[in-house]
Amino acid sequence: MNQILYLAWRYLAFHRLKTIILLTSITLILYLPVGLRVLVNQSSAELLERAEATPLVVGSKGSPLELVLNTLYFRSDFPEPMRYGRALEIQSSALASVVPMYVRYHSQGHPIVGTSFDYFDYRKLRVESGRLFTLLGECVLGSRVAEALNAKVGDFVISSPENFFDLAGEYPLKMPVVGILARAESPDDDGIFVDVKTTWIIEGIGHGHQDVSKREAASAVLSREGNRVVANASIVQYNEITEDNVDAFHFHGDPSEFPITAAIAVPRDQKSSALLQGRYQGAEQPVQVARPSEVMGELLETILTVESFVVAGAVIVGLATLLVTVLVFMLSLRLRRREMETLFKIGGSRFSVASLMASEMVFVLVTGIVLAAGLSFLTSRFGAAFVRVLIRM
Amino acid sequence: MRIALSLLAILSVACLGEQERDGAPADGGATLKVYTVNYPLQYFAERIGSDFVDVSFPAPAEGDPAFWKPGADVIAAYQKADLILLNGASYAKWVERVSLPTSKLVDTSTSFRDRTIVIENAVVHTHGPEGAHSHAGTAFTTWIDPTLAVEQARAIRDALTAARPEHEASFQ
Repeated sequence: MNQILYLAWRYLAFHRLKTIILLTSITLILYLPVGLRVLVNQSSAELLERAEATPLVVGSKGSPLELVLNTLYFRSDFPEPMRYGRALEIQSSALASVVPMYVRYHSQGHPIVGTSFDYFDYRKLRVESGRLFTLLGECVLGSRVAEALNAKVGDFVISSPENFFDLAGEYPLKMPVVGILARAESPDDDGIFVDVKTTWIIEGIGHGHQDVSKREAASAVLSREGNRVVANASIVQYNEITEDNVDAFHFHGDPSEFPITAAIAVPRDQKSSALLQGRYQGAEQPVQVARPSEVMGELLETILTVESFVVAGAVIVGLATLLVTVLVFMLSLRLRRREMETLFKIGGSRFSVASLMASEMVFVLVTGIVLAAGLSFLTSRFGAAFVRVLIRM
Repeated sequence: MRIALSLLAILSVACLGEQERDGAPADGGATLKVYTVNYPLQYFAERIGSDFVDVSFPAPAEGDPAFWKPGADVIAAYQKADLILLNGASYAKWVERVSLPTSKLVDTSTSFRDRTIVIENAVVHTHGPEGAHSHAGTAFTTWIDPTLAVEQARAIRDALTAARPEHEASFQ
């Protein structure tokens, strides 16, 4: 028997290209449906975990998926903004605790997440180095952002203007890094966290400039009539908030009218949750209350439907490949007729020759199954990390 | 000044129908750590919250607390409070330049925001596309008006009740 196995091994080793092609085909036939299913299940679990940890998201009427993706994963276009006052109303209603979110701006491709101090408690985020923001203009980096920017506490990040051609629009704000968060293996690792008021400064709703009543701003003053001063654009506007100029920063208008993209609402109990959702139900309401678990569940249902088609496709392709493989073996047997005749002539029995051929096939099949099982194991082990990379891309 | 404020506060709390206090928390519940931005609010919170609250107003005794600016360590202490009582009406402008947890902020003047007195004759200036604007605020000594002080005390009572509903009767 050993001789037969040796001969089978030598044959496969000699025709290594054919063997590799056969092995690859069989491995992929078996691995693709299983691996895809494992990967989709892990993606679903990753996405649902965060969605289920976020009870309600309140935002302007529009696509709930866009609202949830922006608020939870800092992805997608920023949804239609909502009044900050709306978040305050929910907070004062005592139905839910509210965390405002304004995810609109970026710095070198990384999302700037305008929020409140509550966010860190809510998401159980821990500071690895430095501290959380206390002053306007300060920022805290997610661990992956810090790695990507090679930034540490004391460095600066600068917000990127939304429109480079809008010279009179929002100007870049230089923000000191005061803390770096510990790795959370969540989208929070990819965010630059600032106070929501800092995002309003990036937007230009709040700003700091020289005091027009002071002498150093005299050259920028065009006219002064009583208590009305008109200055030109040369008045020095600060693009960095420091302890020296922080008092010059101010907001124009009523903060409750300022924009946010969403508010994460954490109801006190089931009853409060139902009351809150009921309050904002109806076509006439300018806001919507999205349940992230439902929204993501619907998205995943669609993905799973697509996945079923893909798996079905993979199975059909697999069967076709299997048939081709069988054909390859049969043709191979025909091509090897002279080799078999030689084996008979040197004394090989019919059983020995059949065993030799069968050993080759079994070896390829078993190796293919082992490789597919190994790949499936690797996918289940490291698929989560792979999924996170995919989600970030 | 403080005596006058105290008298005013007592009057306000009396208007709310103050009842006998139950005394110290019998159920062993943790006291609420409350930070305020001025003395009148501290006084109201202490009177209403009694032994269920631990109220702090960390401004130094000297200087005008309305224009006081806390340092980073004091802001960190505010961030850790269970409740932060704001006066509103543009009092303590430092609040808008620091980061405080939204869920813990209680603006005690929200109910009479439309009745605050806007300071006139402040410098109005124009330097960009947003048009003329002023950095003036409003008259922030709201507690001097007893009716407004009562509303502020009521806001504090409601906030304390929301935070510790089990002591609602004591806060009335």
